[in-house]
Amino acid sequence: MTQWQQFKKEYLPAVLSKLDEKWDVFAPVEQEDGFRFKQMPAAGEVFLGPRKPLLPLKLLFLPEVEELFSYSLKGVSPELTQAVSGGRERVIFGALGCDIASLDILDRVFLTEPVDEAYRRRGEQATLVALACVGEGPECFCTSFGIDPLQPKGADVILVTLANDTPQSEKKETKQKFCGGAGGSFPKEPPARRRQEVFLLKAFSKKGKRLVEALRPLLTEAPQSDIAQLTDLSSNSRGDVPADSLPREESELWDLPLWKNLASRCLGCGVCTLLCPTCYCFDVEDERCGAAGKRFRAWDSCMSSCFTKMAGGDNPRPTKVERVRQRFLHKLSYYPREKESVACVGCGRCTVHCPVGISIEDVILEINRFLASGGEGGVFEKLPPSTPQKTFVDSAGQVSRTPGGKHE
Amino acid sequence: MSRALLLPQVFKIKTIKRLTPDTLLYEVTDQDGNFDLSYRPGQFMEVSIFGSGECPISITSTPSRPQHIEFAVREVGLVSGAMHNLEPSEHIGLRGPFGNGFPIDALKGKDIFFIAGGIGLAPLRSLINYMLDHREDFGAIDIVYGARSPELLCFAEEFAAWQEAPDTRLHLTIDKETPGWQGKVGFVPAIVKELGLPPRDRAAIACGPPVMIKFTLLDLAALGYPDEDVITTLELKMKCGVGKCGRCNIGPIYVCREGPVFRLSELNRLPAEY
Repeated sequence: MTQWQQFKKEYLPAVLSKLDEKWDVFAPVEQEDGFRFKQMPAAGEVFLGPRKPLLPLKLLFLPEVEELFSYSLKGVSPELTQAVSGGRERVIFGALGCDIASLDILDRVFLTEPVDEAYRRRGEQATLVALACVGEGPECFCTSFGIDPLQPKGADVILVTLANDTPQSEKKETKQKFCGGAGGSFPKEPPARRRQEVFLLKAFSKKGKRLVEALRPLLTEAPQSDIAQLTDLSSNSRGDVPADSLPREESELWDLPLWKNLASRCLGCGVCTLLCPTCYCFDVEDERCGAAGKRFRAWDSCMSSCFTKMAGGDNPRPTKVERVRQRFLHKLSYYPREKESVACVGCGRCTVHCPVGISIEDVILEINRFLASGGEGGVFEKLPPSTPQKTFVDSAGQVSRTPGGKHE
Repeated sequence: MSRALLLPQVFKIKTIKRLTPDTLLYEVTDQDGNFDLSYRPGQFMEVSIFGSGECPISITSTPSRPQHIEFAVREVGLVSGAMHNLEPSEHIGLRGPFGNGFPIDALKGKDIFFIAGGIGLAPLRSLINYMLDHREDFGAIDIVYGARSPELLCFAEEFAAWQEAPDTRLHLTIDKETPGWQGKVGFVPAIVKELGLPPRDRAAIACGPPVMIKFTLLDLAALGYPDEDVITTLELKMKCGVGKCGRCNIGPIYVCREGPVFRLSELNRLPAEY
């Protein structure tokens, strides 16, 4: 069953409940506190569109807070009980290419010896249903890192939404229609025109085949006219951010004027690292209540002033200059040199949510400019030290209020 | 199933000895009074005090005396503070050993110049006692050890054994003249300079407070020690011990994994962020 299959949009509830028989299903929904993955959502809530959840997919593999073990101090010696992360296998329905690519970056940390068993098990138990993404967001530049948002590597199943004016029409679909209309109104209001939406899906792995097989009663073979539409799909993700020049030795980049400039704007809030799908630093803490307690690990941030502060008070990264430099050099120099991949997937979350408009895309451009000019400071030096609005620099060096300069 | 990465094993404190007013020596064994974990001098372990947390502590005992493991712990933070409240026969958790340890094979046949300040003697003591237990493998041993005052010198009980060992000299120093003090007076780097041990076939191994290290390295360079023959051991904030939690890196390397023992020639290739 490796051909493209399809089901109509009205079958989505049936598809989800069919999956729910075997798997724990996670799919993106709009909630009061943002757009995010939810376990076993009602079918009507599910939004399958090229829209990034606020929190990255990593949280289903490396949870924000994870119990490692509990302990009892009642006996003669402490008794430790390891936390078990068993449960059913999971289907992650509607994940985007950037997030799926980020898992490969985390794998290279947690699956190298010594292997993190809890992480490995979650990966093994997850079937990833990727939603082919046309890269709607102006912040998207995953294709600059060689990620294919339409058919991301690592996906077990690829799901494509197609909207036909009438069933079996000749179709002259634009990308906008393909995306299922704009924004949050989509799940609630029917589209203005009579359209029949279909989902095409195809397995790309053993796990994927198992999933498609389970759905077989709900699927029909996709007609050639629909499959033909797939070749027309293209992504708006910007592929021109010059990441090829990376990685460089830190000695080449250590004294970039950029670091001081960014540090003068950075508030140290850490939102960039918490929303980053590839940031994986964690803290380990105890919580004790009487004679019992638990040890947790939790997401941590290199932007925190306590991150490297030692018990005696010494801190090798005492100011934001060192911390900002650490964040970017880890992604663009240290990690790539060890793991042979830049630790960024171009999702743009850090840029969109940074309260002072710091953009990793700008940093990559600035590194290129710095290297090309033989060490001269670039555009950041000309910006006022603390700009409240976001500013973006396009590949031609133009500064604008929108990423890439061309998207409104 | 392999053992979970961050799950410690429970061990028992056998004895606690006071080394200085703020530093205690813990002798640790398993529940049956044995200890069969193999480690190398210069490695460290993540020590758990259940309810307070975990922190990296260098191993101060030597694997050549294998019946127990020892940690010298100065009371500086939350976990070390909680550890100071424990009594013998209470329990701690251990993970590890972690890190590279001292390059013992490369040091064989060489004269050794140990330079330590304060609690910095703890990781070096592991190697000193290892070398004394394999005395014929190493050349002359000189140990410069200093503290602010005599009562702040750790491991005083062992000084006699070190002094009496063949071809081994211990040069003790304190910062200021004190009544009854028989040793040297002056900062550690000054004593290093005064001794002026020539670098030929000799490796220098230094551990101590940052300011001591800084000046000692300058003095060793002035004496002509090549950077390959100067070894130090670092400490940075660590959580996992296996290069995954992401906080003990100096540029591209993780101190818990590639360190904590470094040759100066290796440190010189890294950014000075430690």
